[in-house]
Amino acid sequence: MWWRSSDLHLSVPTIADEHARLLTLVRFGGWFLIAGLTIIGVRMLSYYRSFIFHSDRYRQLVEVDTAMLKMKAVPKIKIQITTRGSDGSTEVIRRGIDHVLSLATEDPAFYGSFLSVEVVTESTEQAELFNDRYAGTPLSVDALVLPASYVTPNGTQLKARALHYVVEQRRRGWNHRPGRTFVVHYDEESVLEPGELRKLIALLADTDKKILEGPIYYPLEYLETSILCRAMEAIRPLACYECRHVMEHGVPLHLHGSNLVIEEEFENDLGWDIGHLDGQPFIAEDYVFGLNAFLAGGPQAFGWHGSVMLEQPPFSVRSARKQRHRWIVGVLQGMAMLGRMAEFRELDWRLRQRLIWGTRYRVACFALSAPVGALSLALMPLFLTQTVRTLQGRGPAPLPAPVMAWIALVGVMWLGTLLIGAWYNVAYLDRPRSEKLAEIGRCLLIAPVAGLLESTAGFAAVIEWLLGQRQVHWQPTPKTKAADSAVDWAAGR
Amino acid sequence: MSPRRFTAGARAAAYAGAAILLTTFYCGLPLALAIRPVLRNSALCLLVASISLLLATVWIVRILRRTTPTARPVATYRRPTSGDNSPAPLLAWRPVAVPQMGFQRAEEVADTDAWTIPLPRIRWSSQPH
Repeated sequence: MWWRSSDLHLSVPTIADEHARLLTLVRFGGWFLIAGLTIIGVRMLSYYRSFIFHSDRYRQLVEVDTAMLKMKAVPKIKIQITTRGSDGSTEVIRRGIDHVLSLATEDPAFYGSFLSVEVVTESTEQAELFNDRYAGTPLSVDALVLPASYVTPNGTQLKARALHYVVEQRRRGWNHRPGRTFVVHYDEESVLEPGELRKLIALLADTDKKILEGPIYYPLEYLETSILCRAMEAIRPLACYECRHVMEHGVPLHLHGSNLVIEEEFENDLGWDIGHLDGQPFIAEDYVFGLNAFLAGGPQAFGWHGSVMLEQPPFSVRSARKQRHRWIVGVLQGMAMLGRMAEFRELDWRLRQRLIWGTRYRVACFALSAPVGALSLALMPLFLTQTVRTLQGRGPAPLPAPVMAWIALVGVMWLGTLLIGAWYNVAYLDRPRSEKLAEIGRCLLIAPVAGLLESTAGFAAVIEWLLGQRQVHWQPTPKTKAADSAVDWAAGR
Repeated sequence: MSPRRFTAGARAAAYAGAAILLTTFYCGLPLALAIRPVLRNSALCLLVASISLLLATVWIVRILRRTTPTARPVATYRRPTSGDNSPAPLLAWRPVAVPQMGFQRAEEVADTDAWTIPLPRIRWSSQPH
């Protein structure tokens, strides 16, 4: 015969050949995936170190009552809610204030002596509404209107402009109260339940820290939001375990602007007049403020208060993705600003590297989740097929045993993150236990898709930044379903 | 058991089952493969991997239960009609009795303002749920 069987073997692939090619593909993709998973997995290990070994410090577990507070020298506390006054904000702000009011009614004379609320809004109508509604209550509620013509000395824009306006008013004596005073910063939708507020007051009575943060959960309006958004928000409570570590070590790789407590004198000294970056406003004013606070007060100024604040998930995937995009761009802006500051260059070299590379690593993990997530979804069927074949004794393992163990560990940590976040979020729902369990299951199931949707927003932000597209636009995340449907995202660009 | 509770229970079981399946794919099978060179028996590997994952879940849930001491339903704010923020008629604040355990009984501050229906939804009590 003029042909040999081996020639035939080459020209007509057998099932064994197909399988060998498949195995090569799985191995190649697998190694690429392992590199990405390792980068993300190492960060997850730091979350779990905090979760497993320091969960008692994460939130205050001992109840505090009014009688206990009366035995302490409680500081003055101003709850500051900063809003644009856009559609949907009024009702959620009222929800937050009503919860503070419900604490004040426990002992009007006592709480009224040191607790107050300040709303800073761009809407005159909204300010009048709040002033009218809470007139005559045991809680002092003052609404301050940000004048449209107001300009800060450094040309700061967006939310930081409103925050600095309040600082300027306070420096002039507005709502001045003698004695040590703390400002508790709320987002529009934030809620501190009376019990958590009492714990916060007790801690502030004893602390020497100037800037503190606490955990945030996302149970409000929970079932009104998209399941994809709920799954995205399930990632966040465990990330707050990292916030605790960051705040207790005083190196602000991250700082969120709500559940943020700042000593009034310190805030007045620093101000929020953060300026702009090459003409573009800063869109993560909280992170920039944290960096300034670090340069001014050092690590010892930072602390963790452990009182849980409640917020709500974004209502739509579009809102959630815009929010994530804004976070990443805001942090990249802050890092760019930091590199130009003389005070930063005077810091110890190692501290500078820790601050810069620590933040870069965080951003990289967020962005890297997109290709890693996409690749894992694509490779998973092949990987599983090969894994099952190996377990059946019909082929070699796709990857060495230690690598398989690492993949399993990262998988456990990732799904565990979802379990932890969903658990904390649904704990506050007025639903039977079976429905809460079903919701946790739903979050876990949708996690691969939700994670991909979330991380691609961060990935796009990083790519745009690297390509030099640094124009920013800011649209506050809508706070009601109706407002979310009505928002014109194109107008913000 | 009422049909409604049965349906809710069945749905929870279905989601829990699907979540377990997902966990098996992402964690169980890789773990079973990782220990196969040691145990050499696939069925035993799967059993050990399943038990390990179960223990890990129990451990996480124990920490979660410890760090969720006072969770209770929180008021929600829903406006019955969409629209702008035009001020609605507001009720004056009414003082309420303060219960001994320190939690305000939200029913007593029920706001009849149709614009917002927040506080009556709360069921705070001195006992954790």
